[in-house]
Amino acid sequence: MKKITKQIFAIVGLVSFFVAFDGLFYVSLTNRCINDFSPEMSAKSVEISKFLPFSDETGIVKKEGEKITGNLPVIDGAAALFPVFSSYVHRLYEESTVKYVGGNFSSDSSLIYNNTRGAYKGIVDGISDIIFCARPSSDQLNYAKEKGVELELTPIGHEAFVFLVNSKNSVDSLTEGQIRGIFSGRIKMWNEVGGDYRICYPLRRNEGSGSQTTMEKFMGDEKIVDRTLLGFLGQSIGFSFRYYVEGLNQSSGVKMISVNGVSPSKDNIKNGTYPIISDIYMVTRKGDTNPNVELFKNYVLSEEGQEILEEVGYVGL
Amino acid sequence: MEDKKFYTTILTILAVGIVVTIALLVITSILFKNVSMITFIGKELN
Repeated sequence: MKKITKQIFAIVGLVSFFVAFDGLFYVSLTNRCINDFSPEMSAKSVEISKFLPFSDETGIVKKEGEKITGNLPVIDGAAALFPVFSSYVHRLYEESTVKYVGGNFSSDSSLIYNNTRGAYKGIVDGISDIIFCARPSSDQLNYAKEKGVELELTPIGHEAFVFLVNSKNSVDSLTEGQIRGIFSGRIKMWNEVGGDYRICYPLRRNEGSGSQTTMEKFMGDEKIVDRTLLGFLGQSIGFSFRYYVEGLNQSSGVKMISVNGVSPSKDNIKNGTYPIISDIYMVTRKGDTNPNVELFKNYVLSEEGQEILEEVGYVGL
Repeated sequence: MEDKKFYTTILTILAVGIVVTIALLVITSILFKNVSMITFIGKELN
């Protein structure tokens, strides 16, 4: 072969190698990290514009009746519970008290949205008066203690804590022990739990988020293993709350697995057979003297309040 | 092609290729901090 031909082959070969390698890298790794949502939505975790109170096209439950007047408690909470507390605000507050401009609630709105971490900070700092969340993390409780605030947690319903894998993952059910094994790093390969010969890649969420706090409680004394580069090439497993996955983030690429052979359906939450059920709470400051806080709480626990919770998609008390 | 020109071309391709690969690694690590867990799992290649 002529020298020039060999040189051309070498150059083309090297360019092709990088194009193929970087192209594969992009498709298999980088592309996975690009959200379907805008950067704002990825931070907020729910498209609140689809669940606004008083809106003609909204996904909330609309009930009408007598409104609360006077000093209105400011309402905030977790992403997965936004449709719930937005429905309560629609029922109990006048429309003029909710101020939503340019994709955000203004500071003087009776309804705001800061997700779990922001909501727990806000109720301690006095920015909000009633928040709807999963249980607080130890850091969130310590923050309240440092500020001299005692939080009062009132259960309003139940929700399944679920585990998610890609819909093509061959595993459909895991035991609680296997889940702890995967997330602690003791179980490293999916074939150890009846799946494919692929690396297990357990994910985690932000510290202080509702699902991360619940996951840490589920793990007990075991820590969630850190991410690894090799794991990125494996099959992931994540966690969330059932309503968030089914109701807010429907994705054909993800499935919820059964735990101990029991699927996380509403019926199995109600009959108590699904083994990992969390309470969802209304959180207030103990000793809050605003009588409207008690009025709001009583409504949520009333028959109609619980109907709203169930119609949104949760399981009531 | 002269040997010097050939090797310069090879080194240039190597350098550009390595820079692009490192850039992809950096971009991935930045995006990964903000990625939605559900999106990440749903886009997994199987």
